[in-house]
Amino acid sequence: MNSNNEAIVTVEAVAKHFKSGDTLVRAVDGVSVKLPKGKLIAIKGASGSGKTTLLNMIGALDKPSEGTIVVDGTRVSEMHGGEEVSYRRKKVGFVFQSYSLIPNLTALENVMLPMEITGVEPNGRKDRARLLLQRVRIDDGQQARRPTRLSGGEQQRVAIARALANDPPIILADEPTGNLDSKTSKRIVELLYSLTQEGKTVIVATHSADIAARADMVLEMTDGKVTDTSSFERPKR
Amino acid sequence: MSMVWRSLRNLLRSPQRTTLMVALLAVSIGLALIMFTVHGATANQLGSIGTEIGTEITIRSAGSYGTMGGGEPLAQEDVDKLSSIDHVDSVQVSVQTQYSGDSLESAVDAGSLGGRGPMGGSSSGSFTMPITVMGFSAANESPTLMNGTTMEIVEGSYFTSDDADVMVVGQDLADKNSLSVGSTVDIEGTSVTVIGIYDSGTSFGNNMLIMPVDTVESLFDIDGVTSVTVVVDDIDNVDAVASDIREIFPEDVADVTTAEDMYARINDSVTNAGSTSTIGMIVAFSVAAIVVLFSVVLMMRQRVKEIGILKAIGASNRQIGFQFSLETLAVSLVGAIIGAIITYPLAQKVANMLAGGESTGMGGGPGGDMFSRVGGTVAGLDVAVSPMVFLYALAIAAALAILASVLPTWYIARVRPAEVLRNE
Ligand SMILES: Nc1ncnc2c1ncn2[C@@H]1O[C@H](COP(=O)(O)OP(=O)(O)OP(=O)(O)O)[C@@H](O)[C@H]1O
Ligand SMILES: [Mg+2]
Repeated sequence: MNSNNEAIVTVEAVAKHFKSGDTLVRAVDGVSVKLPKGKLIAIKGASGSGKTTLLNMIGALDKPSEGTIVVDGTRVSEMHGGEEVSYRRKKVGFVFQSYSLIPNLTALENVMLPMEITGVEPNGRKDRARLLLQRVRIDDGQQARRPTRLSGGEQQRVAIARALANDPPIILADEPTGNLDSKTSKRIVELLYSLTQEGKTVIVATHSADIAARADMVLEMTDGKVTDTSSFERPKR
Repeated sequence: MSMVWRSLRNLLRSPQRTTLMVALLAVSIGLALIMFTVHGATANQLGSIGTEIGTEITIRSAGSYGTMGGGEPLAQEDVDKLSSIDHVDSVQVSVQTQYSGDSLESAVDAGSLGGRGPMGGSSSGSFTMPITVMGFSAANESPTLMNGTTMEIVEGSYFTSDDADVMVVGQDLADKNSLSVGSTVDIEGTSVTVIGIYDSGTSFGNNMLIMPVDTVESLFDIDGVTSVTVVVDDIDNVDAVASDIREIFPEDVADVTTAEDMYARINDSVTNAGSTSTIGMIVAFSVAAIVVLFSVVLMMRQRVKEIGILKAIGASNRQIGFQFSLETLAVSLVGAIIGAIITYPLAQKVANMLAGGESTGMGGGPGGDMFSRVGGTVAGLDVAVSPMVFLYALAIAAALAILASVLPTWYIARVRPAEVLRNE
């Protein structure tokens, strides 16, 4: 265990319950975990085990029913309105499994969008978006296309570039390779891993063995609980 | 500003929906503007009718109606009493009958009335419209004919108070019977001299004989007149004079109608058009509002995922709402401008539809002149579409967009990204 690594995310006794008809679904059921900064963290588990729910709560897309979540000194579980908005802008970048790009915008515009939202001046947006897209290997021709005219892997790379737009310390990715073939998946995994080299914390919910194999830390979830936590000390490339 | 640009592009990228929305809005906003314009015109019209109300009172024998004449003539001795009523400026009488003798041939044959069918073909087609004879006082130099038209002397002259056994003949009738100024015609055993030819612009109007009242009375052995027009000195005295007249001519003898009574009927029709247009305006605006609200709801539902994504990447409710409002505003604006454009050709038509009808029902007989004159005005309810409609259109568009932005604001605040972004 990297006890010397400071935790960027602290989840304490968190539960999330959904009412589904008469029954109460315990999507996340008492999770306490500390996630280290600058690492690639995989959350594994069967479908319905609560991975997405946990990730959403860390990203302030959802609120815990119980417990507290502290991210980088911010008590995410107790935020409201404006605080949530500024948290989503500055602290986290999301990558979803699919359909996460705005269909009416080109790849470039999709990456510029978060910067427009935070008020980065137009030229700055464009330059940075170009840089980020080059970094995920989306060339000029692809940048001008709308998502429907990009392959799944390309779309996911654009989504990663967009998540990086406002330079957040944490990237949250929910099944980022769920729709991709294994070769393409591997490239996405490498890309996510490379982000940790720059000090970003990347938290990925996944079924993929590839990601788990590359991760610094793997959380195993079963029925809303974290049933296993394994950390790996790797020589960084 | 790229938010604006993006909104416009969003619209262009779903062209069918945008076109449909614009079309629906153009129609409903156009209708609202048309109704608004017509409403303004009726208000104007009511104002001008108010100032035009005359001081005339007509008396017609009970049972006579419009062009049909009929009823017992009004007794001359009673008519003579009229000029002694206080505040009466002048009394003009007219008498009306028909000539069906052999000396003259009518210039209007039934065929030209479209009555061919029932007449059983051309062989028996000797039926003709009877010739109308109207008697006026010499002082009434421009009398209104029974069909509501006025006459213009084209040859010879109108009669003076000294003339007797003379007539002014309608152009068509003169042509048909080869009459000219100086011709004489035997009418009911008396030789009557043509002293003038007139034109009234219509074939009915030109199929008449106009004579001094006394001549008509003696030729056709009529004691009394068909209608009387009393001119009162001041509008404030009209009602008093009318009630004096009603004492002389009780209800069962004559209909006494003030100009005001007639205008009131016209007023009603214009007022009706006014209130119909008010309702129309409200309905049309409501339809426009429903169209906008409906399409906004549709748009939101279709793009709920986009809203979720925007939230996830840090957009505030206000930012998202602003974008959707811009799209709605753009569509409303285009719809409003098209709506304003269609107002130009359509406003007058709608006005005619709303105010027409009423105007042609009656008319005829002296006194009917007021009616037909005002009636004509209503039929042509003068709708001038001013360029201001564009301003109103913009106001409507803005109002709709503001109204419609309430919905997205409410809706967006309730979109929970975690829910809408769940993987399917
Ligand atoms: N909004 C909701 N309303 C009701 N139940 C929900 C809701 N969101 C999640 N759940 C339930 O909570 C449980 C956990 O869901 P979650 O999406 O977190 O699982 P997951 O591990 O991400 O699954 P998968 O691998 O299929 O993505 C599931 O049983 C799910 O049906
Ligand atoms: Mg999931």
